[in-house]
Amino acid sequence: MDDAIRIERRDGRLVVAGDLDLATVSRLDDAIARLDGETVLDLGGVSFVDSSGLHALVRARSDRPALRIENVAPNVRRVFDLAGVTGVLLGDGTASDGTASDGTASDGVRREGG
Amino acid sequence: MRTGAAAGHAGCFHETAFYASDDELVDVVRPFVVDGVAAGEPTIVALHEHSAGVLRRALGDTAGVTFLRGADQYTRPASTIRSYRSMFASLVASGAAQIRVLGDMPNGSVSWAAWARYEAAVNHAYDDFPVWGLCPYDLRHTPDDVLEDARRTHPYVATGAGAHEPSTAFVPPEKLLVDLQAPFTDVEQRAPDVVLDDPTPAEARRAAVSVAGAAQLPEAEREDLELALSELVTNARMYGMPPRAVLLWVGRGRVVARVDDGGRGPGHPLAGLVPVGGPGGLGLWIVHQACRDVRMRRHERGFSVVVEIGTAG
Repeated sequence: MDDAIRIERRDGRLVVAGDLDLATVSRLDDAIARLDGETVLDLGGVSFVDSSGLHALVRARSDRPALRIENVAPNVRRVFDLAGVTGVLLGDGTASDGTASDGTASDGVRREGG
Repeated sequence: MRTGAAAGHAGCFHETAFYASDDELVDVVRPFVVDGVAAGEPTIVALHEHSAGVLRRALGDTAGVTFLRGADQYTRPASTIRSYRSMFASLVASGAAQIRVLGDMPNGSVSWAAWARYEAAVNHAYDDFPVWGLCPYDLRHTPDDVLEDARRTHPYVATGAGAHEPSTAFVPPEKLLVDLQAPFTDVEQRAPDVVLDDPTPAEARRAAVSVAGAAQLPEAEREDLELALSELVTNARMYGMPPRAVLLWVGRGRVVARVDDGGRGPGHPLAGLVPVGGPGGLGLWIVHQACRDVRMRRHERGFSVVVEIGTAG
């Protein structure tokens, strides 16, 4: 579905809304490849992210370290935590946190109650 | 320098032991713990409550021993691996020459098929750390097929007499992980409540929201179900073959979901248990983190993954 994701440039921000999954992730990749001075990726309108979306976000952060990710909804943040990429994506100082190539996920985040 | 039976061994030394009484348990695990503490090696005990109590009483002094609640440490295989790898990495960084881990597998809500995969995967998943793992099994309460898997997944067997022998039944994990196919569950014998024929990930997510409502799942579990179905359908479309389908069984507070495709499933033996498991590996690993039970099965018509969200019943 073409309208499953919306991406706008607004006041130096790339504002994303919708579901970030396999079907839509190439639109985000394209928009990031054509960044025009925007320094913030605003995910305020993103209601869902899957592993394809996580890959794209990790790629974006590693290609463009100056790009900050902001306005992450709680349920999307939960997926970041689950995948162990919160530190990499939100740059909160736990750079070793993540799904490194050797399979090390260093934070040991686990959720209870499932 | 590593001490004890694992001296000179590189990587993970994975051992099982069998006991038929509390005394026999003490005979085999006490030296493991006492010698580890004496050598200054990090010594971790993650036994279930009864066995942990037996060991504490036998030790008297538990200084130098780290007790973890077995029920917390062994919730979901992929989470257990993640948590242990993180712990091992920091212990090695602090200079540990060997780490001793005494743990017993739970007979809890997660199916044995998933823990059998865990026991096989341990041989690879911890092999970049100097870990000596000892996993005792209680002959009084453990089903025969579980004991057989214990013999097949541990390269070594410890005895109360102090011997550490190679297990003659051991099967290399890369072969065993292919053989370990989860059996059909009782729920799957019933007609599903919802069937989706080759849905997109977005369609599977909408169905997840709908059945989560019908099952009255809490919000976090609804999100887990959405995420799991989305990842599994994505993998089926990216890497699987037709025919693809999603089947859903809905109960009060519980949803069982199965994603079928006509392919052969993931080729990587550790798929789902570690974040790198070949194509689609991150998604499958996320599913293993999100769901309390994940069963993978290769069969004559293709490949199926069954996940369960919510409480049994």
